Amino acid sequence: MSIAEKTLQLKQDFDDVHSAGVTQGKQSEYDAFWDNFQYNGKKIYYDYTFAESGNGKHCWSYGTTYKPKYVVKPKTAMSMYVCTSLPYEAIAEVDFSQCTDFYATFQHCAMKHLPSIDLRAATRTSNMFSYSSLEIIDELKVAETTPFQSCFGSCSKLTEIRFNGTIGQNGLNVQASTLLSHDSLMSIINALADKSQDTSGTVWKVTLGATNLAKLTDSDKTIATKKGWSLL
Amino acid sequence: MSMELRKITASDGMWLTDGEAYGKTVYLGVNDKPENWYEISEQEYEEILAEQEQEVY
Repeated sequence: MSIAEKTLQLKQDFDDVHSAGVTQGKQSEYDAFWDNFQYNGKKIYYDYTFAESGNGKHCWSYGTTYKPKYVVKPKTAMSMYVCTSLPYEAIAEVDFSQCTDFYATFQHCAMKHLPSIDLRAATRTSNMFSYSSLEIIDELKVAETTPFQSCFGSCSKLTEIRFNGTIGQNGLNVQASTLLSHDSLMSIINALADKSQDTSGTVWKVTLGATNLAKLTDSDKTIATKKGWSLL
Repeated sequence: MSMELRKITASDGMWLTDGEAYGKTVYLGVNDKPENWYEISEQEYEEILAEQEQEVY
């Protein structure tokens, strides 16, 4: 066998290991891998779990190497999908309802379209969407406690996003997302909690950026300001 | 309570901040006051951004 043939064989062996259980006749390997990987369904700490190196070679491929046996239900998801290139469906299957830590969850990944993501239990979302290829987020389920500090750092291609719930924390900044639609901006404004009766002295504010502010009418902006939020 | 839109704008080459957020223009919320905002230079703004980037990473 030549070196070239051996190299090909090695690659095939590698692929076989990572596709264990997908090919007919490998059910026991599939079960063994995912039972171990997901602690028989009890895994809750998914920090870096599906992270990749960022060298352009993806080892997680939806339906083959990425085929969790149990529902992925993280308590923590720090850097969970860093540098991956998984499709919309892969993320739609994840249950984020109990997840508290979203630090850099999708940083540097290649996904353009993300499904509904539940941030109601979140205590940290910094760098969560810190990548520039993101164009659409179907829905962010948010609670008044959901933080947004540095959440959308470099989303320069983001056009559509919808908030479902109440935005009640300072720190939301989408000024890098200059392509956001009017409906997306109104989704933010309409989700803002009513702070008009707040007497704490806190300056409540949302940073939309000059380009996005220019898309709003005075009456659009007034919806936010009369609820006690300043717009930048 | 007046629903009039109140706006403050930074001088040329300056940014407005309350120490947490930054913008060239601020549309004030009903309880916000112009006194809560002060100007910083473009250079100061860039330095703060660089610091924040370090903190996040």
